Amino acid sequence: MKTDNMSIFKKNTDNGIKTNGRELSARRLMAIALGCFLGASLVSTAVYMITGYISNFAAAFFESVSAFTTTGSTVFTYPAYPVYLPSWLKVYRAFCQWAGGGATLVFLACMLTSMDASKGGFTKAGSANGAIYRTGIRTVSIGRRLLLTYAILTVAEFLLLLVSGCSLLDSACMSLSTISTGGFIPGAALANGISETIVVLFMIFTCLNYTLYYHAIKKHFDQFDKNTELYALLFIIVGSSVLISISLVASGTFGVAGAVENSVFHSVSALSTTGFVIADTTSWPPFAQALLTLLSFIGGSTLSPAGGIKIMRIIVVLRLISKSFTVRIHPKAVVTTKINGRSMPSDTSSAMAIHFLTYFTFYLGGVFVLSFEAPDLLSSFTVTASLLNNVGTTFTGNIAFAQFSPVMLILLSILMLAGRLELYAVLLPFSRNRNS
Amino acid sequence: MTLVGTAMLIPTAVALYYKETKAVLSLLVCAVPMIIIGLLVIKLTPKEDNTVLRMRDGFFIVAAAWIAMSALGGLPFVISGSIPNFFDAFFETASGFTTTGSTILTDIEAMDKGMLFWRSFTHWLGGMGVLVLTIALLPMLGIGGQKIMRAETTGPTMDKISFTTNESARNLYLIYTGMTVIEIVLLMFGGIGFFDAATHAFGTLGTGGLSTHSASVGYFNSVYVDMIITLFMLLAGVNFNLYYFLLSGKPRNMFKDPELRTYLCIVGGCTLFIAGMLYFKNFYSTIGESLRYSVFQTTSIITTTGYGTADFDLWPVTCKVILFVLMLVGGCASSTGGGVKVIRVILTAKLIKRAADRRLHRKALTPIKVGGKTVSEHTLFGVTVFMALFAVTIIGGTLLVSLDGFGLTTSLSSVVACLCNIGPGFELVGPTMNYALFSAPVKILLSLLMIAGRLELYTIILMFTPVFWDENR
Repeated sequence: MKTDNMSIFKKNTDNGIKTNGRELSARRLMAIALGCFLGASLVSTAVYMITGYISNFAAAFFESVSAFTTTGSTVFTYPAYPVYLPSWLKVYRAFCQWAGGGATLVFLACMLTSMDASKGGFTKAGSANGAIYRTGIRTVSIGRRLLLTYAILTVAEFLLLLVSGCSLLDSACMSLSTISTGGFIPGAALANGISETIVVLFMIFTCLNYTLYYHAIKKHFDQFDKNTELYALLFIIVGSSVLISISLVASGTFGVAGAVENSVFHSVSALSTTGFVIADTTSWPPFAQALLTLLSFIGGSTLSPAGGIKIMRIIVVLRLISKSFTVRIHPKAVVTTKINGRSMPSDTSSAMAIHFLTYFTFYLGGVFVLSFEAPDLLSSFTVTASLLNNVGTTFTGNIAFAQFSPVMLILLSILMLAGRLELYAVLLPFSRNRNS
Repeated sequence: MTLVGTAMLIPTAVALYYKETKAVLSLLVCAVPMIIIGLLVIKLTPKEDNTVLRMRDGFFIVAAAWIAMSALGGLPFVISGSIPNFFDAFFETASGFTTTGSTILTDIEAMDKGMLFWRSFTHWLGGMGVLVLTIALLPMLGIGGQKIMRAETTGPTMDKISFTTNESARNLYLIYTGMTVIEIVLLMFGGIGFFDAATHAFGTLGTGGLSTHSASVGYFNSVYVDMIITLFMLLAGVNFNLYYFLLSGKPRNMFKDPELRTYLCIVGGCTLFIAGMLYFKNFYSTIGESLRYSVFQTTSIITTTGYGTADFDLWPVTCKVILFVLMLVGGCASSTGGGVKVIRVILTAKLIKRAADRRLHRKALTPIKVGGKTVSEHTLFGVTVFMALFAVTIIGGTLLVSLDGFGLTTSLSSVVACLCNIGPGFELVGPTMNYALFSAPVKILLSLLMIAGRLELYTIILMFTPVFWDENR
């Protein structure tokens, strides 16, 4: 992992950083990533302000960060928005999300490979990048392959949507927003049930671990069999779709067919942190709302553009808890945590558990910040979840971000960045560099 | 042996309390047979205490005892007809013993005084731990005292200040009783009758929060009473082992305790912040008034008591968020408060800081110290998993409670209020509301959550794990 990492970032976020050929430390990587996201957002802010679509700096910055972090929240007020916005701006907005999603993939890949077990986070044994190690590919080519996969998925969805009967503009915006898990579709409408199904499928595809595509091409199908994360993901989607369907039918919100359609779409949309909606979820039963919010916390797979805590960490935390039950009863028992058929070192798993707790600490911090201007307790809880998990929509009604003060919008932008860059990157400006 | 042990503990424990609440006939109807049965069981128990109590048995005894206690303790309510529904009575008693203070009663003043007294008295008993009391009073039981005590004492065991189990249990109760008497006397100086003074003192020291009035402590509307109750709530949220230092003439040791310092800082900081917010947003006209309501509510929530003098559900959103976080924090270890405990919050904060340092600076693993003492990695790992389990329990509980269909804030805050043993939550379970609206299964779930929260999660949750029932593992 040498200098070429940066050129990948350069390509994706139109922000050039001079490289000096040094190896990437976690700190440098985070600094670069944060720099790229901030730089790109500032450029995009300028675009909004110069073209005059958003006059307020904070609002334009929020809009840009929301796009690059693949959140999809907007300061544009909804009913008027699709009408007066030109097509180029819609495509531009969707493309920003797409660029952000790609940059996230590369950032994650660099982070996974630059870290070993002792540094915490995802590790060789812990995630699918164990395969990366074994194949011995350098980070650069990994980055290239990831982006290629990412682009192919996007084009495939674009063509399929076009065939299903969506307009050119809609297909482009939809596919860029789906694959990046951005979830922002200004005025785009899904033509029919087929295009809906296509979107659902591609939302699932994009929140799979991208290393699986590599294995699929190499015909390493045994990797699918023992992939804990993949099974968990499918299990969660099926389980929550069933539960939400039942709750929708029981509450009389939909008939059986409508309930299945809506529950599958919204479950996948929430889990992949895309944030597309095809129905008004505010009137849904609280159980469905709670479950959808929970799904957005769980998030996608390790190496994917989806946000949230990430399924792998959830699995590890749950395993640690069940292990602790056994240890309580048999204090001398030695139980190992097994993931993907291999046991995980205990310091890695406890680092993941701490990350899990840090996530909720950030969440409560965000709730506190938002509470100064939120109308009530519920909206501070759900909107913070939506921003930190990079979802963009809430399951309890949309909030007009335009009404917030500039300071609040900047703080909320930081919250989105925190969720996108694995939390710690946003602490970087506040930490003294003690050893380099 | 396990079963006999359980059977022995419950009725004796229950019986002992009933002797003191003879006000109502229905109490007697329950109490007399229980005392007799309890005594009979003790008599009939074979005096062979050689059997070593396994971990499994320890958990089972404590869990079964708490559940049975709540069920049996609810019987007088059912028999006297004041709470005709058994599940309601179970909820109310569990809320009492676990010092939660959630109530399903809509008209508290209409209850018999004897019943109200019993209701408040369950707080006092539950506060320090019913089984600890049993151990203190019945040294002849002897078996597994240490394990039971550990299961029932709140907070992680950091270091052993205690002496032998029986002796320390007795000392704890001596301090506890002493403080209760002092509070009753002080409250009576404030012009409150003995009945109200006693019931509120029980509720304060146990950090319970069931009041004999619908308006809670706000009923008295007196600054003096507010301040006395605030002071004793604050004291009840402190690690009771620290009072040894005070009694043994080393008060400096007490204030060196890092947990106590953090606890006091949190209370002070939040009180000032909330008071400021209330004053500047014109909720109260004077600074004094803002401070008075702010300090009472802050203390009431962080110690997980749940008494109210104001309806904080109407306060600014930021104040509610602070109170919500305080609910989770809870009191100090080995206090009568609930929540995750201040010490765990301190340790988690340090763990997060260490993780950030390692990420950002590639720093080596540095040991974590609290009050100059290094905390073992084993303990830290335990705290991490505990916190994660706590989060998972809240999420799972919220999902289940939301099946009743009452909105996310109500569902979430009712789970937190029960698991952390607080009492009032927000919105439909807010300070002026009650839990009568929930369905019977949800009431049972919330009761179990209260007991789980009181017994540090594991004791109750273990009962629902397959590994617990699998003899071979």
